[in-house]
Amino acid sequence: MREWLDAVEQRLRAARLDGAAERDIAEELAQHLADRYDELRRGGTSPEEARVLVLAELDEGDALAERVRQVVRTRPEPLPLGRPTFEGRIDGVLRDFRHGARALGRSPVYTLVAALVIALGIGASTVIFSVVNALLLRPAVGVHEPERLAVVYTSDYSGPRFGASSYPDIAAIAASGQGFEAIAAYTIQSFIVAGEGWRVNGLGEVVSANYFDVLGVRPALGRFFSAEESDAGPTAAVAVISHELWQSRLGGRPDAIGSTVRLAGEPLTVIGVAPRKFAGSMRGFGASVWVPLSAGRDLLGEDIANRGSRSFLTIGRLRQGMTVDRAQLELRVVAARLHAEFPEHWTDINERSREFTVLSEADARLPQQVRGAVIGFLGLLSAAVLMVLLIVCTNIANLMLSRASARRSEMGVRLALGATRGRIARHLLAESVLLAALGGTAGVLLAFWLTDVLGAFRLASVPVALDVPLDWRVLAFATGLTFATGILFGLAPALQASRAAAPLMREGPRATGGTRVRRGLIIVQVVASLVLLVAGGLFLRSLRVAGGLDTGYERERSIVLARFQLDMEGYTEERATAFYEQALERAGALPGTVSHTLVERVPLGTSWARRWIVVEGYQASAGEDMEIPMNGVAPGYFATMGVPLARGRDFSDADRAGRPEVVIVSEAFARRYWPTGGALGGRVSLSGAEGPYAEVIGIASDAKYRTLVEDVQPYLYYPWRQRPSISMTLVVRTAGDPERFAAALRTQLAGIAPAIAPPVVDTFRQHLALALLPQRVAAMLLSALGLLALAIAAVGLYGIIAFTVTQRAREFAIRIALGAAARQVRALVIRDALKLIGTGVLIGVPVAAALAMLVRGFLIVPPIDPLTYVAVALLLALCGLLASYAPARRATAQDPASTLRSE
Amino acid sequence: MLLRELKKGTTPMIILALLEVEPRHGYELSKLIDSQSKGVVRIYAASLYPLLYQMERKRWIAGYWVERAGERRRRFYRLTMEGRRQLEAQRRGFEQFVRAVSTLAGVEYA
Repeated sequence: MREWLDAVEQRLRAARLDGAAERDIAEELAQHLADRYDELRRGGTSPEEARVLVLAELDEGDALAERVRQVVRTRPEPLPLGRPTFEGRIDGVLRDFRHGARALGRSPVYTLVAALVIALGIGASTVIFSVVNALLLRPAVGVHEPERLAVVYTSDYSGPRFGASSYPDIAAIAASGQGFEAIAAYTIQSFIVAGEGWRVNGLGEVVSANYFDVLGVRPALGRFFSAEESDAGPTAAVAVISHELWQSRLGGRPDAIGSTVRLAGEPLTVIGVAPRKFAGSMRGFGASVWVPLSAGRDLLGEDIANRGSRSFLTIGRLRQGMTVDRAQLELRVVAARLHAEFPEHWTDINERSREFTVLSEADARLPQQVRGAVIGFLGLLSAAVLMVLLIVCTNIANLMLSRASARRSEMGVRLALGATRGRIARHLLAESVLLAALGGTAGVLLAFWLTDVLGAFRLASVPVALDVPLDWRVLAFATGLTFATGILFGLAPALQASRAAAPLMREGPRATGGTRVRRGLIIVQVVASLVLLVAGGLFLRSLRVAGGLDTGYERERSIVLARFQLDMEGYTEERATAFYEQALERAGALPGTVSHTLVERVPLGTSWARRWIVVEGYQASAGEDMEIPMNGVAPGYFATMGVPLARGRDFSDADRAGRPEVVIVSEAFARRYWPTGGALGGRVSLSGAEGPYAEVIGIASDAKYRTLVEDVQPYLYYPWRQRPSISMTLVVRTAGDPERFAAALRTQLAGIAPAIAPPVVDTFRQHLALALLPQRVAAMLLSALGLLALAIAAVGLYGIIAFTVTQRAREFAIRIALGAAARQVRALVIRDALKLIGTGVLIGVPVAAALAMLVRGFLIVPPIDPLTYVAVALLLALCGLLASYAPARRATAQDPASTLRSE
Repeated sequence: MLLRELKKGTTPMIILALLEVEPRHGYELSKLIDSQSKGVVRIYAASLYPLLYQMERKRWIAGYWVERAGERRRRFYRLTMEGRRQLEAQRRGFEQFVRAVSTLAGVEYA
């Protein structure tokens, strides 16, 4: 009785009746409920079900409080007849949500677990989308009419369309007036920017004076470049700095304008601050300083008037009403004229004219060389998180379905009381959308945190930074996804519940409903987890295989690298050479040094150079690619890196400027150009057919130069002293502990020139880890997502098996009563679970294989790697066993007699 | 739709008719409506009591508490003079209405 009184009083509270009236009404109603309950119990209804039914009758239709208030306190008003008004509908929807909130509040554990699972799914998807947004979708900050911006590429000598352009060619486009209103040239450079007591190692852009005008960006402070800083004019020692640099290093003070910063040692006057978050035109390369071409000419070390020197990126503003396709057509005219006028600069390897390619700014936010790979990689990650989200949805749908069968009586009563199926479906959908909103909100918070972590992510040796904002696009995506998720996982249970409710009232609570749907959903989860696990497994295997790959270098852990950035310190070639000679000397004197050398570009890194060569006596066929990757090294390179010299000799200290030019080639090089032998002593020119020619003095074993998975290819080494470079890396092979040795080396080297930034010191093994970064990230993320998916799916599997066991309790009891051994019954349950897993595996393997084929470019193992597939299938089977073990135990733990009696 | 509106409109008359025989409490009323209509008309607590209070307010019926030994007290309702008049009027009106509709709709009326 007390319980009924509470239930009634709680519902009457909103009516605010006076005390006596409320007590009387509550007592009368409670008495009614108690009578009804007793009657139901006498009719054989279970206590729990009777309770639900009685309360449902109390809650039928409008709120009780409202009805009572109308008749007890105020004059009764005639009930309006006719169609429901708009306000009525809104009221109805609001009521659905209130109902939903209450239903969720009644099962806090279920709600919490479900919301958490949804949060993981939505959070992961939002993070991936925010990266896609940051890299591909979001226009640059502060740019005016970004849809009118476009980029022009000049095709490379060897054919690819998306090459850099030369300054005179860009000027020719501007002068022609074709397509573009204005067009700017820029390059991205690493710099050390220094001021009073600070120095920053970062990226900068050397830009034509019209750069900011073309973009339509307004300065946050001061001014941008003007005609005074004309590209071809005298050196204008000025710079624009980023808002971030201004805030962090110059205290955000207005007097930063007019102050001096040093770039590569050159003093420049700050004339302006870029708007907040503006980071230049290329994603992932956040610029912190901009200098005009006239000042940058010296830094680039190139003659901008040279038409053959193509080192500029472009960004142009299309004329009003101009399309990219139209501009592309118009630039053909310009290209044809340039080819006619400057055939030596405009003819490509196939004796055809080079060409211009125009792309909209939206398609050119990443360097074209990596854009495809980045999109592929992001596609892979998106597919993975969507897969997780699919598992989340099916799992929550399953949870809701099992709740729905527990709430069948409630639904039946609602139907009987005149609720339409639509109303019931709407009611349940409101509940699932509410649940999704709860999870989605937590997911977005999770994404906030994760994108912060991502935004702070920096690689020590590569100055790449990406601002990953959660802007309106990301929030709109997350909101849309949340609602879609809520409707997706709510739809099946809602339809199921409203359809099944009516017959269920008649059949009683034991009828099975939705089991087939639930089993189908489990299979979907198994398929999705299998796909994710296979993907993760393939990348993990790739990493393992890569770890065991022969790089061609011996004992990489013992090789210590020290990188200098003398080019950014404003060193001349002469000063740099003197510096490196000293560095070699000091490294050689250090205890623990086995051998030491210098290298211009550390192999398997980000720096890479190819050059056109002429091999004496070798007739290149038409269209043959004679651009060969090469590297400058000091004597001792082959011993230090552990690359054996197959024949001939190493470079010596005598191979310096003024002496006859010499080179060492790889075995593949020798095989290709001297197929019949005679490589040693052969002659190669790096400066065209006229020479000078360098003699091949040694043949080195093949190694990996650019990627771990590349095919064996020709490679050429030249002595550092004959072609000096300002930026070199000191390489030392040590016998001792590489970490300790690295520290000692750093101290030793810092003594040479205290004014410059200390070198970045790491081991070759650490350097190699960078080469495998995409595989490492993919392996990490996919395995984590796969395990998450597996855990969710295992819980789902456990749920459905446990449910089936309850349903088949009677069958099992009969079997046992008829003499079946407990073991046999347990096997029955476990077989059922394995059947679900097996079906999932059968469907999942071809799906996973098809998807793996799509990403095989990132894999080092073949996409159909049997070991991975078998391991994943076994893992799933193991999960199936674990998930069904407890229910199987329960199936036989019951006394069969009591089970049968309870029917 | 028609049936629902009909039920809504005729429930007060049904209650009045049931109370004409003898005073009854709410739960008894709901049971009688269910059983005598063979489940066609049903009324649950959530609708019954507000309706009773409304009818009481219009002075068609009067409620009073009855205490019996060994039982919780119950609120019974009896018909008032006004209620008796209402019942007669509603019966007449309903009969006329049913005849008219049956003729129009071509339903045989016994």
